[in-house]
Amino acid sequence: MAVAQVSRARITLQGSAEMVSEFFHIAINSILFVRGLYGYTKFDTISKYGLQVRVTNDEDLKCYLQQVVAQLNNWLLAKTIKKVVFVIQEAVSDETIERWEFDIECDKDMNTESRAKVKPIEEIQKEIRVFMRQVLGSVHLLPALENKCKFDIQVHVGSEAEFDGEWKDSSDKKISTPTILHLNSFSTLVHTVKPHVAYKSHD
Amino acid sequence: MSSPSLLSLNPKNLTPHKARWQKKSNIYNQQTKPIPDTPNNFPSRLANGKSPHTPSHKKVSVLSGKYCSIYRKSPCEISFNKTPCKTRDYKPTTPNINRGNTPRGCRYIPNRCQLDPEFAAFQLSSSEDEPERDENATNILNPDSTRILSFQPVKNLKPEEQTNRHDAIYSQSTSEIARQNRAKLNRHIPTHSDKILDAPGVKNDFYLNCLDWNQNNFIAISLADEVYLWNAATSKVDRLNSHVSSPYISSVKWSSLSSYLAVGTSSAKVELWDVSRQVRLRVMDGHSSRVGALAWNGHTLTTGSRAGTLCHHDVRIPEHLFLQTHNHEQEICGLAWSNDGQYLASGGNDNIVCVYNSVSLRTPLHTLTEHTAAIKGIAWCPWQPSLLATGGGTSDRYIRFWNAATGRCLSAVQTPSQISSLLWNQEYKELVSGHGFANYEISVWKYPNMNKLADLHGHTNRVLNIAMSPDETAVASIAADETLRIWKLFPHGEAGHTKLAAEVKSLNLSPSTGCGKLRSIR
Repeated sequence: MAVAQVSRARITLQGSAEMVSEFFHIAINSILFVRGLYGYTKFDTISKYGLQVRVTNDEDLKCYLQQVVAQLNNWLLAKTIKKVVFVIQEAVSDETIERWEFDIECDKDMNTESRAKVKPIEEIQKEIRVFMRQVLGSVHLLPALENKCKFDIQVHVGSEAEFDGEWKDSSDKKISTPTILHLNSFSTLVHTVKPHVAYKSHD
Repeated sequence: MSSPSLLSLNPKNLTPHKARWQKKSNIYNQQTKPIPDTPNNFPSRLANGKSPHTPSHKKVSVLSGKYCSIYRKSPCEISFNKTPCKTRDYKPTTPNINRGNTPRGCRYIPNRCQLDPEFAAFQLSSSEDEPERDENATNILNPDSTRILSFQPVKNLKPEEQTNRHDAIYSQSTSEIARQNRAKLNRHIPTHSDKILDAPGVKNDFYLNCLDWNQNNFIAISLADEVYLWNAATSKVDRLNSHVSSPYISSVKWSSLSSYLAVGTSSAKVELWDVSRQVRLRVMDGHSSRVGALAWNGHTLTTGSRAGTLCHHDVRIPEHLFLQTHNHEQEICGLAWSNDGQYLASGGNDNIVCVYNSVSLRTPLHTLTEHTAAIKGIAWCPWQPSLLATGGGTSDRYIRFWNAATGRCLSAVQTPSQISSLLWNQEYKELVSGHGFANYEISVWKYPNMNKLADLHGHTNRVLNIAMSPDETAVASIAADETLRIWKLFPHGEAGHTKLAAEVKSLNLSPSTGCGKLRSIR
């Protein structure tokens, strides 16, 4: 088939959605690891984007992330997704203390039949690599999580978006006076992801 | 009444504080008088937010444009005569009291029938829960707006799972290698020997080297005037058929190349045996007294004698002795080539260690004089090419580490007993020392911090020699109590060191000759 001939530098909507949802999988795992939400024994080291990244081996968490990422992939394909927010809350007071926000811009003109865009995969990986390094380095800036915490993944989608019963409307979990740290964004030309982390500073 | 001076100071502030009767009379006058006379009064009153008491007059409502928007009906519809407020303006009135059956205005709401209570009620009720409605209700109406969704099962972390500490990021222990290293650090070192063999007739002489273990898993041991071979894999015992005339064997050393065994004798001869064929290949001389130390470097066999002479033999050529040096004044008991063949170290009873470079064997590169007793234990580090460990005798008891390139003593650690032999273990980065007087123990040290990991007591007399198994898992020791003991000190990690394990047939100690069971090797 002719599809097999497609060069690696050509990016279709499906390919882009897959790449971005995989990115979220790795990114969320990395944040969980870096922020110590799960113990380091719960993570395995794998090679990704030319880096050593941590991916959980906890079965419950794996299953949860798989469901999230699968749904993200659908939304990315439908181009209805606008933002993914990884929220860290204090378990007792429910206070939001950290928000990892990923603004997503979709190229609305792109559909499954349209021509593939051209961007070298190495270049995209390079951009992601910078982000991953920043996540790792952010530990030095972010305040330590003193109390027991929980996390939530919120997704901002257009009102026309379809989703299954596992997802429900929720209020935005905001931080009153956040300090914002912008992280490196990356683009597959189809989807552009602009991440930043907002956190509650103690002073 | 306000004074004229104050008025001039701040006329704006003072205008609202006119006496009530003045205001009332003003309004009354305006209502009856033509409008052009009093245009100034109304804007000022309206700006102060005070509702006029009787705005029912057509012209008042026209002037106060603000009120027009609130009144749903035009004020023109209300007849001038019907408004009761006109008469009541001259009396003190109580607000909110309606007189008569027509809805009349109170002090603040002059005319209720001009209002639209339903609309007002809607406005009031809708404004109360406005923020809540914004998110959901308006989102449905507006297609461009976003919905915020969250996945149902919010993860609640179990407390033991959460570290909240930076150890997660700074710990590299998750890798397989690190886990193995940790297992190695915390491993159990058995303090009992795995196997004990009877070795009657072993010569109780500190200066001899009577034990060696080769790559084919054979242990060679010299008992009196005979050399015995014990196959560690099959536990079979063999004997070299030597009809030697010398009173006893002073040293044995396996060549690393093949199953060649060098045997030093008390009659100053060095014999070369091919063990697989049970043949003595050649007898080499060059010494004048017993040969107590042997070392192989490829085809070169270096031998040290009681006289302090070193002989270098090339075993391939007829004129084997190519160099003879005399740098020790007394018996040479320790001799070792470095693994890469670059350095040779010899230790003698004259308390000095000579380090030679392989390219200039005639004169020592360094003469190390720090030890204060005979140096028998000499071992080159397998992973650091120029690192040498030496151990001194009874009056010294130090293990010293040297940089062979510079001749500097890197560190020294004191032990409680005479050091008879030293061995490195590459996998665990540890050092094993065999000791004589006073404790007769075998010690395991962690390099480079030289923490003592274990003391193995078992021998009841001084340990003469120790040797490492080819797969580096076990150590054999021969002692003056005429026993040969095998210690399983370095078990391989789960996946660790497969290279060595694959190269060498594993040391298979048969269960029939288990721990503590004494068995003669004769």
